[in-house]
Amino acid sequence: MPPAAAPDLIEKAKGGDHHAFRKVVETHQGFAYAVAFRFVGNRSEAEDITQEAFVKLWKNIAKYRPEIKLTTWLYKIVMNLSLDFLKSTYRKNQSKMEDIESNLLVIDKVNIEQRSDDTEMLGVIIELAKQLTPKQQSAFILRDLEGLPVEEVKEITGMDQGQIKSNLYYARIKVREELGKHYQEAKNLKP
Amino acid sequence: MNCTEFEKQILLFTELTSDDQTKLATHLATCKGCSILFESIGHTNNLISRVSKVNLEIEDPIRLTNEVMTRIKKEEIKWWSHFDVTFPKLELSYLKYSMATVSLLLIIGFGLEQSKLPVRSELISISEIKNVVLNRKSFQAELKKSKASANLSFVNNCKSPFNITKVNEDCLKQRMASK
Repeated sequence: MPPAAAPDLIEKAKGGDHHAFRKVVETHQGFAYAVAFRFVGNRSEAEDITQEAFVKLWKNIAKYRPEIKLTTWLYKIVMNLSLDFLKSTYRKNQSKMEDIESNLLVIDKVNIEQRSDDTEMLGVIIELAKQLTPKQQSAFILRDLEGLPVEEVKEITGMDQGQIKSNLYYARIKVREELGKHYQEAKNLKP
Repeated sequence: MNCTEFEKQILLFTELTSDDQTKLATHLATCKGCSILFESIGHTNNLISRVSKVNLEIEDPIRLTNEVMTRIKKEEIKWWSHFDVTFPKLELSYLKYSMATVSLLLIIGFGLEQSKLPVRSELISISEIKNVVLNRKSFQAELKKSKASANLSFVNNCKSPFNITKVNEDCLKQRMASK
């Protein structure tokens, strides 16, 4: 559940109050990091994106309108930064499976007791989602992994309901197919 | 609706209206193939929904907050330093622009002032007008004379009537007419 920002804090931050903005960062950074991680699947990159997102938020805080939820705005910033990052890494061919594996170990440390297939599976799903088109990936992550209502996904992505449905449909087919292959490979590897 | 269409609906189950969900449920009760697919997709959905709840936490949240705030302060310093550097330049350019504007306004002002002055024609004396009229008359007389002489020289220079050209023909016609 994303945190709700106190409107007075944002108003103060709009006026240039660093302490107020610091509180906004403290309450929302975990949420922004989780969203970024679901897109990029990499701890350090997710932290960089989180940092960049708050700097961007600070620079544009004057444009903030109270009728839009702060989390919706943050989702939008984080999503765009993550997609830009993925586009650049795709171009540079820097996306390596080893990175994901090493980062999964870091996630695992966070919750050692609960550590299990779920954390590993999240890494696999994030990796599979990276193979989708940016629109499919956004629809899948926001709707299926973040569990956001369609209205909010519409507001964040700028897609209409039909586009969301269609992108979600192809994303789910692809993820399902790839998960099936992954399971098959894992079965074959077992002695 | 056939099974292929229901298969699509199964994948988009969460996006369906309650009416469509009921229709699908009715179909699933009678179609074994679709109900197997529904169950299988249900497993995948459960898996995705379970993994979406994995707690993702920042390793060192205080460090990240501090880094964000340091970057914001740096950005602000950058902005102010930029403002300090460019301020004298801006002032100088403002001076230039204001001087140019003042000059332009002066030119326009003088122009307007000139247009308000009485026109030259109002100041011309009667004698000057008389001179102009007389000059004009003499000029017109001169013009008539020169035209007549030109015409005469044209008529005098006609060639033989056997020279059949348009110019010569006109010349001969004019000579006959003048006679």
